Amino acid sequence: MIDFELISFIIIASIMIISAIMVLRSREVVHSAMFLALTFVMVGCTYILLNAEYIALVQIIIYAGAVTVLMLFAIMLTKRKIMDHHPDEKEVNTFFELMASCILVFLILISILAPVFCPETYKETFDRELTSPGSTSDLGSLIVQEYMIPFIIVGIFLAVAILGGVFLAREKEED
Amino acid sequence: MVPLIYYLMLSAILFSIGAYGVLTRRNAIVVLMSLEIMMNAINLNLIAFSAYGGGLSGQAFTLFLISIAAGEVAVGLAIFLSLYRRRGTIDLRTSPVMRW
Repeated sequence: MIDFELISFIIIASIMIISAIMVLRSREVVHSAMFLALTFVMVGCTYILLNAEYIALVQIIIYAGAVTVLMLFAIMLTKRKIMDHHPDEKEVNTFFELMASCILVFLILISILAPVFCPETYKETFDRELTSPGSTSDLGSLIVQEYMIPFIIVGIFLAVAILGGVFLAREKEED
Repeated sequence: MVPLIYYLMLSAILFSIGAYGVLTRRNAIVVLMSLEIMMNAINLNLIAFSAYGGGLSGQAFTLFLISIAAGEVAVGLAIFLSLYRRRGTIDLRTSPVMRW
């Protein structure tokens, strides 16, 4: 019996991890932004696997749409200095590279080996069944009833962030 | 059937890749992209716990986190644009305002 859920999870997860690595390994920043969009879309696909359709839509609209386009605009407004004009200089500092690689390998090993070696501790994470936590209308009423104050605060935060972004990025007049 | 621990492992791997990028890259925009990858790993964790019996609160918090990440990207890119106008570069290792 073929487990389609597991197969699609493995495909989505491998595309996600490979494109996240390609974000860091691409020479051109624009390619990084494209791989970042692919990573975001794949995260959206896992949300669909996890019965969170509304969050998946929001993820694809905001992250894969808006954030990636914002990144592309920033790249086009700032580029042409970093990547292009020192090809012989090393892209990363060796010490930081080493330190960060150690942290990366350590974290990945812990996250993979811990459930393998002590399954009793992680028993519940193997046994739990996938459920549907609620429909989109449940989520909507939860947000406007129980989480009303955070919702308002996020709205104010977004307005302030837009004003601050415009203020920081505008051209200064010569004085 | 996919057990919960697979999603947690995926999220940990994604978070580690993002942390690696934040620590090693020199281009400020790529550092911001790595931050976004880390943020996505956190959201994935919340959604996974919410789907495996944690209730709807995880999804509500993910919505708030996504909006806050969008604001963070807007302000961060505006800061980098302003830095670029001043210094002519957004290289984090050579810019005199950013040590390290």
